[in-house]
Amino acid sequence: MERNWWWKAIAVFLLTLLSVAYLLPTAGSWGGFAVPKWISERIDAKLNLGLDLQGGIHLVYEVAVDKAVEDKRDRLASDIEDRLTETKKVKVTIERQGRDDIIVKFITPADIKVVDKDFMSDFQSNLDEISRDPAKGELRLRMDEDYVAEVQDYAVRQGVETIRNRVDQFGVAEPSILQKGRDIIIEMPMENFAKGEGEKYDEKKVKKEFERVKRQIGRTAQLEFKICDDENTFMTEVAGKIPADKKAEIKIKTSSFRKGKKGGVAGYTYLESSDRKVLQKFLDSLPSLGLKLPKDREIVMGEAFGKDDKGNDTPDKIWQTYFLISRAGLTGEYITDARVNFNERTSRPEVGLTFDHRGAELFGNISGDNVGKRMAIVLDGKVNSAPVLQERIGGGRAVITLGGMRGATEVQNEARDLAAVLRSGALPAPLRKTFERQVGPTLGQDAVRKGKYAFSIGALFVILFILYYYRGAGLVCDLALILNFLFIMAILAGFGATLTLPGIAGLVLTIGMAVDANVIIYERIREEVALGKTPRASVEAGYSRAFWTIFDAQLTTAIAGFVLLQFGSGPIRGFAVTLLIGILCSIFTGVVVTRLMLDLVVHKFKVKKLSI
Amino acid sequence: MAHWIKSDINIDFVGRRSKVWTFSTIAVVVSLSVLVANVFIRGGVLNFGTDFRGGTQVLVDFNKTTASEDVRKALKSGGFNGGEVVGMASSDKPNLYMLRLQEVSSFSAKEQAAAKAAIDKAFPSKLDKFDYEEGGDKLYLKFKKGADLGRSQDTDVKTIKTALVGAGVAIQQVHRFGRAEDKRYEIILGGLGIKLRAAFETGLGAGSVKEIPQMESVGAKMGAQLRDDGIKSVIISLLLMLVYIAIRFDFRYAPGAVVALAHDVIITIGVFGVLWIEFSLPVLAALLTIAGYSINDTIVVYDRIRENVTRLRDRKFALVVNASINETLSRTLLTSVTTLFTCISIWIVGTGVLKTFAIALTIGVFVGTYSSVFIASPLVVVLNERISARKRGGGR
Repeated sequence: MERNWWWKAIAVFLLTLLSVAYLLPTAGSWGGFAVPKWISERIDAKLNLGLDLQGGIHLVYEVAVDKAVEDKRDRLASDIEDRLTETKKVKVTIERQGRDDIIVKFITPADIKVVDKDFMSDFQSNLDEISRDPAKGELRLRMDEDYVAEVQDYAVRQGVETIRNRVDQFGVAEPSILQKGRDIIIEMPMENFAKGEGEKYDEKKVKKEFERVKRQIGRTAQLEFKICDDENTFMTEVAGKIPADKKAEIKIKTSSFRKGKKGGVAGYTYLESSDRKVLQKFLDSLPSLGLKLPKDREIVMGEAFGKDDKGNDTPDKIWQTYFLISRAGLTGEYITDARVNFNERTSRPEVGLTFDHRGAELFGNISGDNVGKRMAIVLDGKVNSAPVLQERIGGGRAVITLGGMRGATEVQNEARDLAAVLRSGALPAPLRKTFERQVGPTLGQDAVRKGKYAFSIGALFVILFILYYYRGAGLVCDLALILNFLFIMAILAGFGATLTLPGIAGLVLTIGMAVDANVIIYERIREEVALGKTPRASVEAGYSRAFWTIFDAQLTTAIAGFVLLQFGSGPIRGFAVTLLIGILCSIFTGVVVTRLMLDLVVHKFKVKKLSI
Repeated sequence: MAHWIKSDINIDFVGRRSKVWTFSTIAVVVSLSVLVANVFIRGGVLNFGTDFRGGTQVLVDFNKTTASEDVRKALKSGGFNGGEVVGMASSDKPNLYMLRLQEVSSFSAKEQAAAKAAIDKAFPSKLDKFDYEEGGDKLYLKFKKGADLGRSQDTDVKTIKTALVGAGVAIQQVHRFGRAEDKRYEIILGGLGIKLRAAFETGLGAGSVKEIPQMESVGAKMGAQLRDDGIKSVIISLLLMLVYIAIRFDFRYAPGAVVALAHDVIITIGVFGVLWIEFSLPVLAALLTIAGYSINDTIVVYDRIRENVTRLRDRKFALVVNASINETLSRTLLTSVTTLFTCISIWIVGTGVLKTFAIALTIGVFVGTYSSVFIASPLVVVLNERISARKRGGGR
């Protein structure tokens, strides 16, 4: 008994020390004092404030997977139409039904026979034939169920990846991005928008930041590969139309490149300006200057580095025009991966691209048909770069080398950005916002202040009341209560948990309910004392009889806590976590810690009469 | 040493159950009928928060004293479709209002029609699809296949932009979406916050809004999901508790505990229905906590009954139950007092979410304490009598 007591007492003491150590980093960051290095090196987990307390933005997007499936179906439908009309030379009309079905109607019913096994083998894993009516010449195809599931799954995964990429690009620290089914949950606490620690937030600026973040995330990126029509002389005609007063701002440039292995040099004309708006305005005015754009051509702008007289890059960014064939031969959705590689020969970074099966085929054809031409990579209507196609690129892999004589780090950064662009360009499904919460910087501070206040008042009342009601034993209970609070906070901090407004409420509530274990025990002890038992026997009986009551009672509350944790969202989970940890700590301090202290009183000091 | 409850106390709880039960039955019936009556009088079972019914909840702090009537007027002229305006003034924020709007995005039905008309006008008979989903903040346009819109996509974007702005639609960005030949465009609409600010700037004068401390919008689908999850969690936890009691005690005990639990939850919801206090997600969490607390209380009494049944074999069951209630009475009251201390302190100090949360808990603790003494345990007596009677009848 004696020895046991010492072991337990030492264990509780060590736990207390450990708890203090775990709380120090949190206390340090809240109170603004330095934590001893030997602690901060080992313990870095901190109790974080939830969005509702420190402010920030919480967004939930749903990936519109059905739209993704529909898009895929539409694409397959136009693919079939192309093959039938261009390769097989039969006349058809295509109808789309529901989300998954394509109905092909042959103008000459007998033509239906061109859709044979061989024709369908290209769509083997994508489409199933549902029915065929040779008399009417009607064929119904449906997207394969597994393929639909794959498209949906891919859409969600890509959505998460894309958002992660974009959010990382804001340069804000550690936004949390969670995937829950088809929902993508993004939380960006206010501290991510802060310039420095303890700095005041400008409410209007923060609001603007929120809008910027939302706009960036909500945007559906579109990546296309288009061929530059550099042989066309249209751009020289355009150059001739530049008004005299704009000639200083819009410069006419010519450039050239080697046309692949067979040799030959191609030259082209383009316009360049440091001001995008000036250039855009001029291009928009072309029709009024009597110049009509040829069919299926477009002029798209792109940002690049300027060049000095020797042809070397200058650090200034300029805008230049690209004259493109409007039809995109290939879009970003066929890309499966894009990453930065190092070319061993030139030891310069480059971007490696991988296409899927269809993409490989398409890319092979495009590159084969256009050897010696430039291919523009267009993201969201802006040309990112336009490498020259040196040869036919088969096998579904392509490499984009980055030109220029810039520093290695700059090229490296550019390569990384391009890879991110290519990856995020593959986003196949639009995102739909289903939930949004914006909390400004002041509301949270106010809530924290009030929460602390409520906590202090509640705890003070409870402590005084217990002291009044149970006297000596009440003091024991109060000490246990303080330890209880210390343990709860330490566990929360140790797990790096997030404290929310309902979480604070859970904490306050726990303090009120924590004394329950001791009330049950003390009432029991009082009964035993009333029966005439010695203090020692009363304490013994009180604890042993009360334990299972406490256990049963607390466990049922824990059931509610677990269910909340399972079904709750955001702040509610915070409440459930504090409630559960509170229950655990309350049982420990209420049963073990108070017992230790009371045993000390009845065994060591051998009191004749319990102060209870 | 304080003794509020004398150790020899002996109140006949079990014997007086019928009167108390009548009272409880009335309370439950009133609670339920209030919920039904609310549908007709107030247009909803409960004053559901935006998190359950979808919509947008905004806190707006004004720079000068503003009458709620003016706020309403500004909203209406700003194109918002009605909504509630609740004063939330406190000493440090004297002009704070909470607005609850039905809109989730800034794109009203009227604006949709105007936008569609404008697009049709800009591109006569070329529009194929005008795709807008409720709750979305984006608009998709698809033009007919082969339709030659204009010179280049940049001009198309510009034309679309001009048309929409001309129709009074707040937009952030227009860009092409999908393959060029698909002729699809994605339009990111202006945020609700921007539109709200604009509505107040025009309706109440420039610089009238000090800040918008909080804004929360929940899509209708998300609201429904939250509500379903909430109902599910209440039912699941009730079932789990029932199972636990049936295992730990006896199947005779379980119904009493669950009836008491349902009683507490219904009456708390009833109070929210009568006072028309906002019923939001945190209130639901409070309800589950009440369930846990009420069971907690009940179990302490049950535990004593179980112990006393073996100790006092010669006494009638009803007397044993009554003695057990009396023996644990001081504990029941003490715990309730300390818990109420903390709940009331949150109630008084807290604002917004915390306040409603504390109100629910305070009511729940009161009712929960009452029910474990007057309902849960006496019900065990009744059930026990019924079961014994049937057993005797079966034996004959």
